[in-house]
Amino acid sequence: MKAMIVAFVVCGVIAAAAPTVLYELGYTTEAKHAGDAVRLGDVDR
Amino acid sequence: MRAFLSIALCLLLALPATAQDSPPAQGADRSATGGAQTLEDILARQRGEEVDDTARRAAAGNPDDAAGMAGQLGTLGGASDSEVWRALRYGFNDVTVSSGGPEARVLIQDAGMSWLEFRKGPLSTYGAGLLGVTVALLALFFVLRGRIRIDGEKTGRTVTRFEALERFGHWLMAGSFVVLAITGLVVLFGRTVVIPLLGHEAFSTVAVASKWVHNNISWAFMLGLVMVFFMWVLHNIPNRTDLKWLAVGGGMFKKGVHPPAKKFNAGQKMIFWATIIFGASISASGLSLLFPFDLPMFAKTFAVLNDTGLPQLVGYGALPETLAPHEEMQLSTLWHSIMAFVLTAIIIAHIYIGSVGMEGAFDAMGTGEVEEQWAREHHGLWLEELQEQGHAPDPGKAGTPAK
Repeated sequence: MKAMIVAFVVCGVIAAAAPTVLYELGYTTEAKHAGDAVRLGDVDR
Repeated sequence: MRAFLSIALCLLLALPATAQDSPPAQGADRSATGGAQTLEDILARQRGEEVDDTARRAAAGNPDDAAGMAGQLGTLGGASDSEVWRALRYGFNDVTVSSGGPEARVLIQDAGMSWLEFRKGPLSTYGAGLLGVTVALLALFFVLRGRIRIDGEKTGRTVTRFEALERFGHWLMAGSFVVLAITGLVVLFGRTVVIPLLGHEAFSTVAVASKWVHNNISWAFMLGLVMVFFMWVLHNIPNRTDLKWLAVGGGMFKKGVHPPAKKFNAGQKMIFWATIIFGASISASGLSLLFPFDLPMFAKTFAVLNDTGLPQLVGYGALPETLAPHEEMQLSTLWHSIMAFVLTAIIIAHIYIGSVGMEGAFDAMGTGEVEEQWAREHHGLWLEELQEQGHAPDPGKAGTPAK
């Protein structure tokens, strides 16, 4: 059962870390492409 | 098998596409209106029928037709308000925006209504029906067959079925998939099921949380999917033993029938390939949705399918190879949902047989150790291989070392 519990914890860790990792990689999808890009007009496309 | 999968893929892909791009009826008499739409056109559209809108598409005005600036109507330009809006609707207007990609230049996209109707109607209805029928069939199976027990006498010895890394990969994918399925259903059935139960305010919180969790735990699912594929693909290549297993229904329907199987039987191989194929398809469409407008894939897929001739062969005609950015997203949501419904139904059956449906099955993914008699009955050839390699106790050979 240890492998199952560890896997579930890792699921949570990955989900929690994903937004930060994406942001660091420049892929903040919701902010960059859907909203802020249109409002701010400061993103090169 | 490959041809069947191709045809099935083609049909499923074409379903939402045809919902958005049905050919209009031709040949209506519009001489009374000079080619413009008639009352019959309007009524037909209100009845949900397709009408020939060629004339409307063409009536988008022309700036070159504008009167001279010094003339009486010189400041009005060459297109009326109606013509400007019509051009926007059909995507002919040369819209200029200060930022954003091609999607920002689409101001009106009426295919979105077809998408919404398909999502609210057939997708939700048949999707929920599929899950409901699956649960009902499993309940009926349980009533008729009961729990599949270990027929022979238990030995008290165990063999290692799955190593820790294998179980980790399985549960990484399985745990995230269950969360993805639940949060996905919350998003799809929010208006029809959750809001009536919880109210708008509570649903708002639940929906925001579901979307966040769905988007971010998807990476765990994709990682688990890749792990599972590479760990088990060699064990899941079909072979002749599978035919024997399938010929007797895997012994699922009759007590005491135990067809031979290696590490994975034919049923498990079907689950494996369904998970890989549907999981990959869900992941691809999910990535397209995670990065809106950056990863369009349907126009390209339709072009490839058209080249094969399959859509034309089954009577769909050529699929659209030019799609608006928003249409790409709409098709991605539909495809994502269709694939997810099918995989969820399969996984519900998998969860059933791996838990209450079969005695001793959960141990394989729980502790990793299974009762030797269970292994003999359900994976006899695999057990023999282990015994020959000395990885499992062999009662027939004295002094065989056990792992």
